[in-house]
Amino acid sequence: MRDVAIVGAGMIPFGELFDQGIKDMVSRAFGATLGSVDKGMRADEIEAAWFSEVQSVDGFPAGLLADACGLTDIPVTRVENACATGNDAIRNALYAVGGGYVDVALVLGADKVRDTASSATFWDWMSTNRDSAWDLPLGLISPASFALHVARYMHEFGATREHLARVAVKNHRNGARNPYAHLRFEVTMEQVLAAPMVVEPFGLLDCVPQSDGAAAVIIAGKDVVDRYTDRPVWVRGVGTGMDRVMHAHKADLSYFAATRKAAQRAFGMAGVGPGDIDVAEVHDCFSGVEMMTYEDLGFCDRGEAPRLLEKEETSIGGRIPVNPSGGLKSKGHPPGATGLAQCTELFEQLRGEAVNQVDGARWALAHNVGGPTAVSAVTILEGPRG
Amino acid sequence: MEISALATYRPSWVDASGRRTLGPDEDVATLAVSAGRLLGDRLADVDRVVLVTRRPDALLGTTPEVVLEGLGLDAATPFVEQVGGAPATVETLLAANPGTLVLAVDPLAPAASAAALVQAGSLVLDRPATARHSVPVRTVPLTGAGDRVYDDPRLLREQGWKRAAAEVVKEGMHPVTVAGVPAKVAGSLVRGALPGIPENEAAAPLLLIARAATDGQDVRLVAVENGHAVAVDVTLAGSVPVLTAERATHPAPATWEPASAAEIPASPAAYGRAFEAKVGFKAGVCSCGERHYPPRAQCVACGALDAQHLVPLPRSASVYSAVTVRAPVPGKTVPYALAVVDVDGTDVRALVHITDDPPGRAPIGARGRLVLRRIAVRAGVPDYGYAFQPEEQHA
Ligand SMILES: [Zn+2]
Repeated sequence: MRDVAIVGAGMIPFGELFDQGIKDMVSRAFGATLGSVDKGMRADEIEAAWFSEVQSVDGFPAGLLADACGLTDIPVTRVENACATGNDAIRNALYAVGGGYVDVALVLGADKVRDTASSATFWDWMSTNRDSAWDLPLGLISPASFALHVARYMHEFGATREHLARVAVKNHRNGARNPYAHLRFEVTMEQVLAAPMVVEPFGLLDCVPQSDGAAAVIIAGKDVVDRYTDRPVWVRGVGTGMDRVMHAHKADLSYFAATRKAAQRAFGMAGVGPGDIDVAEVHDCFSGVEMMTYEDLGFCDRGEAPRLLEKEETSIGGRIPVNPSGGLKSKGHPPGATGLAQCTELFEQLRGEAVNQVDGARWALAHNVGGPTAVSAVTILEGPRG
Repeated sequence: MEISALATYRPSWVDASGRRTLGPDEDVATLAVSAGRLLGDRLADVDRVVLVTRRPDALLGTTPEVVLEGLGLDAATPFVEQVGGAPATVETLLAANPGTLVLAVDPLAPAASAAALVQAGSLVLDRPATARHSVPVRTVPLTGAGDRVYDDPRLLREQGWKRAAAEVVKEGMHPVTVAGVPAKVAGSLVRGALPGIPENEAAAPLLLIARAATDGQDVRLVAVENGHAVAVDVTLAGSVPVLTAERATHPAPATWEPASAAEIPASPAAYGRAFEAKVGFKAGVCSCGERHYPPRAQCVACGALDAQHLVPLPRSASVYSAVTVRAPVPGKTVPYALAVVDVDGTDVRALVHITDDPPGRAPIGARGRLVLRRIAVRAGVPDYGYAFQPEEQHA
């Protein structure tokens, strides 16, 4: 398998994009991504595309992307893997480019969640990813599915709501400076703790907003990378991990087994370890998930994640800055776009061009988990100075 | 006609008037099971079930299937749904053959349910008498609308209850106890009658028989409703087991209605496949011994396909993790608590609601029991399963 690099990455600002349909969003994200290629790229140089979209709107997903981006002469495939769709779509494309079947591939992620009334479609969404007879009628909504993990973790390791709030405060501080973020404001610990409860232990400010958005990367095989940039960002490792779907069947709710498996595969492929990572974009759909994930990714020992937050080691300037983009928490979480937006941020970080730049970052990691907590995807990137 | 065992159940919630009222996850079917299951191993003797209530959940629904599965009885057990109030319960008892389980359910506040196992035993009902006059002061429409009440309480009392009761009391040695009327009326309807109880529909006669058995007090039971009265002597030849389930009460909110209405999608086919395991709380046990809840085609331990049979799980459990949902989930009564519980003596865990306490009171490690509840109403059809009832904290 040959080396593969990201040669372009772009996104549109996330938010409640009532003035854009998903086709508009997809077209504009594609344009931004093509425009980010240092030496330029024509659309017809792309040989295959993968569309990362969780919830289909406005029709047949793969056809929608091909049509909206003028890519009807190449194969387009839709990937759906719950909230891990974005980084899993990159893995799919990497196999094709790394295997030599195509030289240049587009991975574009988008989701449009604000075209439908949230209450009217609530159960339609739920019924696509819950067991109809057993889990659906219980009302295991997404924050509850993660809260069951976080509550167990807090019980075992003595973490508090203040620790969770530190994640929200940190990520909002980063996101407030990111022009692509949905929620561009800072929050205080007091505001997070006083926000209305959604699912204990998560208040409203521990939770992601409902965002529309689109983001993309273009990857190329080593043989052709020079045509497009002298500063490629290498995709060194990809990994997807699974877990039992029902919460009753997960061996231990105090960690995310899917994340551990995905990380192990990605690190193994990249030939580096957690200690080598300089900056990470971690799936913080709910504040406590980021905290727990520090351990599953190996950024600290078991039970030490709250200490990492207390010492601000995951803040910009800390030992391992996490979510310099603002994370899902502040930037927003259109599920299909999320993984691609993480890699867009890391593409800029590793090229030294990010808004909240981590000085000298060489290795980076992107992480998603979802499904409910039954799938994770991890991507490990190395910067051009490597 | 003899009774060998009795059971009574009252729900854990009280309304603004201090009357026991159903939780958001209870109905006639769950109330029937909550009382009936108290009889435990004695249910092995049941070969026929009669459920008496004035207010069935539906004219055609799933009550018989749910009650039979919830009680662990054979699905082919004859099951009669008897519409009626207090007199109907007494008539049902009198007509029952040995082996009959009589369940009586009052779903409206004051809510209660009770069960009697008709079988050779120490509690004897005899010397029946009946009176019937047309006094339609209270009528109950079919549509689920509120009761129609003709505004003349004295007419109901004098021409209905009192006249009919007088005709059936008869001379005898036993003090009289009256079922089917409010507690404050019961003691005065017949001269010298014992104090009444809040419940006044189908469950009331069994609750009074249970009280007599507990107190060791023979009584003449008079059950009335409008102009209808049925009376029997209740005589104790020895002690009769009376099993009761009554927890400390919590104030019920003004309404259990969801914050916003939405229809939870239903698949009767999927529910039907899950039914026996879900309503009977049974695991799929593989030939290798591995237990699966829910049951599944392939064993997670040995990989065998289609090698599982259903076996009831223990009903005691402890909380492994729990959260309280406070966001306004469409179609759900909020707040509600979700828990993953460890089922005692197994490696089985279950994702369940926490019931019968205000949400948030059962922390990780709390112990309790799994009880049949109506988990949701989906497309108008009730969906049943098990919920975790925390043990009461005895201070
Ligand atoms: Zn097996």
